[in-house]
Amino acid sequence: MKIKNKNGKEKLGKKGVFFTLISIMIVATLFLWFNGRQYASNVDTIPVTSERISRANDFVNDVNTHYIDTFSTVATYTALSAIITYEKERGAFLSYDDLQCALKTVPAYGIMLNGTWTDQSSDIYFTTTPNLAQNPNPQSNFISFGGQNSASQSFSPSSSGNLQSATFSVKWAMPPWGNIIVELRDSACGKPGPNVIDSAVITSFIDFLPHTVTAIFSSNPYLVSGREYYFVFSSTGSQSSGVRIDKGNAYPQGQAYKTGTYPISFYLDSKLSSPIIGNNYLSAKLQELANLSKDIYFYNTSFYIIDYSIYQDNQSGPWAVIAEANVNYTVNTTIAAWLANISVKSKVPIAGIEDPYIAIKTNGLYTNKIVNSFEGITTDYLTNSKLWGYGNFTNMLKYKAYKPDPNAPNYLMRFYDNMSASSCCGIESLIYFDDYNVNMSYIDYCYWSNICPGSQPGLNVSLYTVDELSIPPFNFLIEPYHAVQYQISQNTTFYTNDSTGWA
Amino acid sequence: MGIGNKKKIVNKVCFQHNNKLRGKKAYYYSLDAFIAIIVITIGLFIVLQSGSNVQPKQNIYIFSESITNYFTHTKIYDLNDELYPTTIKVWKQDGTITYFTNNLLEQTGELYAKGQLPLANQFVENVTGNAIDPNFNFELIIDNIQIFNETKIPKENSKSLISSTVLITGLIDASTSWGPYVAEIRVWQ
Repeated sequence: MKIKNKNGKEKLGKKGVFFTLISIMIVATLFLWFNGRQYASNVDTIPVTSERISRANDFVNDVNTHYIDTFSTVATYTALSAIITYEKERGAFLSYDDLQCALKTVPAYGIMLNGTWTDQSSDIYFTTTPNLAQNPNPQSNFISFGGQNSASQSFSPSSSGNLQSATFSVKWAMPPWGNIIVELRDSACGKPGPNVIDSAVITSFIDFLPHTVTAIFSSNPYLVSGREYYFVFSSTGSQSSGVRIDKGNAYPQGQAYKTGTYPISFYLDSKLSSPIIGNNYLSAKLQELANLSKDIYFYNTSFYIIDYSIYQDNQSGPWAVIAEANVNYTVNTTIAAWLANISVKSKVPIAGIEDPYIAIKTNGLYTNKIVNSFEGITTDYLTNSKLWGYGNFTNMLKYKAYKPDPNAPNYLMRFYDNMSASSCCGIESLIYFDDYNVNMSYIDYCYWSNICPGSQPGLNVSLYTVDELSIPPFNFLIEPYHAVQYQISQNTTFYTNDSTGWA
Repeated sequence: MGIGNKKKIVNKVCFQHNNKLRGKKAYYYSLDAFIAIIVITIGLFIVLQSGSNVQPKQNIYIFSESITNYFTHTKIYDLNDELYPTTIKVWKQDGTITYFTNNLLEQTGELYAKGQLPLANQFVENVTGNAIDPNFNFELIIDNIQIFNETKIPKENSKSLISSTVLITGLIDASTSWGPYVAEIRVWQ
């Protein structure tokens, strides 16, 4: 076909723009192809999802390997310092049990438990909504509390769930009337723990009849099956024994207790002349972390400290303590969630912390800080290499340093005045003051305990003076075992077999 | 004039006309090809240009991820003293850097927590000297304080900006921790 223009002249037709058409088609194809590629590469949902999960995984890894370890180290060091100060300011050692409890609750919550709980013969009546645990059938057999007295009932949920409320039966024994406070606490050291999970106030009634009352826990705390919790009852408005709470059946999963101590727990800082712990306890730091993760990552993070302990063993050696935190946590990012129980062990050096033993034994007159080196040499090196001698011995006295010794008590034993041997972690220092002249070895743990290696408690041990050192009034004495350990036997002179020591 | 002559004349005219037409056709074909080349050239140019717009988005994302990973996964003990300015080695020896298990971001945070802002800035400059692509802009902010800034174009004029936040904390010694702080790494182009 030929196409003609207006003047009747023949046109070239489609053949005339053949290459142009082809080129436009090629370019159009290229456009479509590139646009398609660009569209595909901008599908952001997949990288964003994977990136968010990857970031959350990094956060969880940091929780496992870094955050808890860091917080736990500082919490432990601070807690030890605070407990020493508490002992010093009280002028008395804690008992073994109280110390073990404090080593759990102070680094974890900054709180010390107070008082002794006595077992009651039968258990308190209670039911819960939903039915997570119960001790039904009130018996009209009451336990009294109020004022400075508190009662408690431990229980263990048979299933996990959010607790909405708990029901009890109470009556007044005597006015004045007041509100009844019911706390839900965790458990620590076999008694109501430091962590008040929730609390409820029951408005008082003005008669002497039994009333079934319901404590509503507004935060609906999540209780875990098998874990131990406590209801703790108190009333500030009443006199002692003003309120009575009804007992029920014998409850195999818990026990009722009563204490005459008030309060049953306190922030340790509140008992010190100046605060030491501040917000450096583990639960506060973990809460800060959870809040930040919510603010910047939009994660719902929660932590629960199942257990906390501080101890010394072969792993810690004499110059550190092991802080072991068992923590349950959840990190929920909405597209993925992590739920884990982890145990984090932190090795916390004790260098620089005070020795409570010297401070309390001298009524705060002298304080020693744990130092294990002088003039660039560690006492471990001197002990292991048998390089002790008169010069290093006098330097140890001068620098108030500590040396390892398997017959000495370890650092933690010094908190509760136990001077028996710790083969892994024993440390000793030399008495450097002349306020108390007694016929006893001037190795710190021998000095007050009258127990020295090679002697039986109450039995005599031979004592020697040290040349050019034992100059009255500083009558430094040493017994044969330590004279050999420090390699100064040739610098000693027999003094007496009568080691009278401290009364 | 005979029919034969007329035909000859017509043939001659047609031949001349055809020759003219052929010349025009050739001209049109040449013009067509020329236009096609221009269309393809312009088309390719536009397509490649639009394609190259996609690339920076990819690169800045990769760069942001890589610089964040570099800061959060490289430990002090990973740094080869020979490949970094001597200040890093000196700081390791004089105690300015104490925890060799710190990653680079934590070390920067520790210096910031100790109030050593110029050192923190210098530290970041030293460890990023060879790691930052000069085509990108980079800024490190800790606890809302700008620690380091490598800017060629202002953020306000950037085509794309990626921000990564990380929570950092650490020890000054056994008795004192710092943080947790929010550390933000911003990269833009």
